Amino acid sequence: MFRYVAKRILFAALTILGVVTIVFILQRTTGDPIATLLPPDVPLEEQAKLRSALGLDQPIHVQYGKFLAGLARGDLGYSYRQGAPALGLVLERVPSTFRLAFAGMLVAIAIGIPAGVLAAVYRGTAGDRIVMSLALVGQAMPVYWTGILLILLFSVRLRWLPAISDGGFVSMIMPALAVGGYSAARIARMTRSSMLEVLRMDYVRTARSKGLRNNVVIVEHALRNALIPIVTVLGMEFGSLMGGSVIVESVFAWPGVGRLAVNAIMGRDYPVVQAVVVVVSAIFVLINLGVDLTYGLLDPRISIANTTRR
Amino acid sequence: MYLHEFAGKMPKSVMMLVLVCALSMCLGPMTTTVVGAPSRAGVSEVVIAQGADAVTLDPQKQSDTDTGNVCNSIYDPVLLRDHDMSIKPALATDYKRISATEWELNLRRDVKFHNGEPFNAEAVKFTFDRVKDPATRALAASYFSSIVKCEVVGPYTVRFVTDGPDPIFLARMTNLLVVPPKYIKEKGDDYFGRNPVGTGPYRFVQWVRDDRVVVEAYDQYFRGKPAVDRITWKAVPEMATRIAGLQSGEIDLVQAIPADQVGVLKASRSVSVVTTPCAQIQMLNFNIDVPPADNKYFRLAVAHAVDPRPIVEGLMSNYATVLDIPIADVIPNAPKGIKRLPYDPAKAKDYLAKAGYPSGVSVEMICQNGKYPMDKEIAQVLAQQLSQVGIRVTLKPTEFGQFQTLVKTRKISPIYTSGGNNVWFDADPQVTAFYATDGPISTYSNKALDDLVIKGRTSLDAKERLSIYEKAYTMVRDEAAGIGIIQYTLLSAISNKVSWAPRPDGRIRAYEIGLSK
Repeated sequence: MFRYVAKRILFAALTILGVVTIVFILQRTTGDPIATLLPPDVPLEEQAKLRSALGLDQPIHVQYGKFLAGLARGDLGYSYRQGAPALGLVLERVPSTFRLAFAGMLVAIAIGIPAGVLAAVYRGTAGDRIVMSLALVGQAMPVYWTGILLILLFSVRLRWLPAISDGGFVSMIMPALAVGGYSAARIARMTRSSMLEVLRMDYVRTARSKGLRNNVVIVEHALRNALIPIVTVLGMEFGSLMGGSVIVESVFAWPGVGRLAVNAIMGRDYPVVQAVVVVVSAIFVLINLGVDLTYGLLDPRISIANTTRR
Repeated sequence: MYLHEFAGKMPKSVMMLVLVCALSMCLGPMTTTVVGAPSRAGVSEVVIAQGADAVTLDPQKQSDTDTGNVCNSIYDPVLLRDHDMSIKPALATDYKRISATEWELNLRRDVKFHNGEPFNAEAVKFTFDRVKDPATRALAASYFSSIVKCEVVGPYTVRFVTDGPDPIFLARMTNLLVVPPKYIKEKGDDYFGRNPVGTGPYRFVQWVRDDRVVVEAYDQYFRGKPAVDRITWKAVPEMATRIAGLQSGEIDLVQAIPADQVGVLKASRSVSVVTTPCAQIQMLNFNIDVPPADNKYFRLAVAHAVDPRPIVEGLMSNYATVLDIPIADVIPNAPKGIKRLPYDPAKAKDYLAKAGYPSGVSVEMICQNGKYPMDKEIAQVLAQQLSQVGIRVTLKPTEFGQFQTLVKTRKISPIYTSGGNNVWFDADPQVTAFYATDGPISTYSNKALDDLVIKGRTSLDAKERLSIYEKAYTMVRDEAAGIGIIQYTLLSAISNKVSWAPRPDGRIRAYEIGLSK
């Protein structure tokens, strides 16, 4: 087990390095950061001074070497705009994004799994069709549009919820619904599909023939097994939400990693973009590792030891 | 051990504890915050929504409008630009020019920083030296490029020395926000940038990154205590959300509303829309390094082919005005009497034929995309108008950063539309930037125009400068170096509890905000 985890972490580090290198090069092909840092009519000599102060006048391989040396020390440079350590700016916002991602996942699970189970159990009925239609609509609706609709209804028209986050639980409801609603739709469809497969299994028929109550059969026997592939999806969903629900964070003014990334990209704040990529890649990779390990806990047929011996 | 065995062995109470902890992560605070005083009953508060959070609260390390608005509530400049855009005393009570390159300013004696530190000439010198020091990496350093040094002449008198005659010296002083020397030396730059201390009308209370900056009225402010007790600068990236916040009562002031949202806001009983002409403009420029823009007849053809009136009346719903020359009329020394070349498609076709394109010509036209209100749509209208005289345009909307790079490297298309602004409220930086041969974003070159620009930049006589810019912009028009399209009207919305008028420079000065009676 230890060797497996160590090998996965090593591959993760190489993956992150590869991603960061690609981003490092791509950023520097998109334009001059000085153009967005200073007013356009600033004399060229002043622009050159700032470019030199930020190290942007050096050849790209020199900049990359300095970046790698800093990365090895855990120093990802200073934000061009904010003058603060880039890694610190990202880590400051991770809890915020985590809360939104977690809340979104709770919404997605609370809606998606029961909806998928109901649709599978009552397959072919009007209930099944309604649930699946809603799931299709939920996946088709752009998150930006959903967010604005929620604001217009609950903030402007009904005045029940604040349009703009203030850090409290109440202001998290709409962003969580917007983020979770989209994931719930996908999870509902996957759950239905997985449940349908499991409900056909012999052990479910055996459980029914033993006289167990229907909800016991569905929850204790069928759902538990149907969850195995869904756990993988949940992990991937959570990872991508942790990457920053950029659109939801912008619509609801939620101060997370996604918004920081967008501002940094638009402002060509290279150190912050690189720090976001490092942190988000690390989180994504760790979550995937966690999902793989959870698989083994859920399914007695899967052994990590057997996997590493292959 | 597998999950079902684990669940079986684990007591339910522990499972509940885990669940409660997970839920409390959602209920707990969002980020590490600087704890500030909660709102109190009887305290008047105004919430201003801007598109971005302050990037720092160190006034010398910022150069964007949103951060500048926040900083100007906490700090004071040496001189201030009043609501009518005239320059007035602030921390300096008066000034005099003692030679072509030396200015002396007398300072107020009754001002203290929010932490009690005294304000004096040493503070001004420290501020200036700090902004010019390369180690500070001050983004604001470029505002003081012509100023060589600051000397302390007396406890409340300073002298600035410029590297040559500088007609916009006084305007530069409106950007010199004074910082407390002792506090910065004790606490360091990083701490200062997060815990600012100034002499301004509001003192710092709290900053939650990417969310809000809260400031409270400073009751010992030398111009009198502000009318509003507390101001919250809220960062709300999406305009739709800012407007929703106005309608729901969460937000009291939003600037730069798009023209198509005015109807929605006017229908709301709790919101008023206020307007002012501003310095933002749209213009059509030429890259004379790329044919056919090097041909004056082609440029004149374009000048006669475009008509801004449908843009003003249609696209902008009359929340803009036709611009005769590519500089806004709110700039004090912008020429006022020069009329644009008339819209005349027949004449445009004649000029096109003279340029050697009797059957028309195909050109690329790059435009900005979302940097200025309706910039892409304005370019689309112009492209359509040009096609009617035989100039077949392939329009390429381009992201701002990439656009700037293309302009600075002179690789942009032969014709392009561009937004423009004027932070100095003086004609020189604008005509230099866009039309002088060495202008940082110029793709035009004309020696006679360059000579006029240099004369204007080195003269300290206001009347003489006015005459120079009259000639310069007449040349810009007659040579079709650039074509004015529209001057924007700045649209803002305020809740009914607020009394405030927008400024032509597009800045929000917290001290100017009052409460309706």
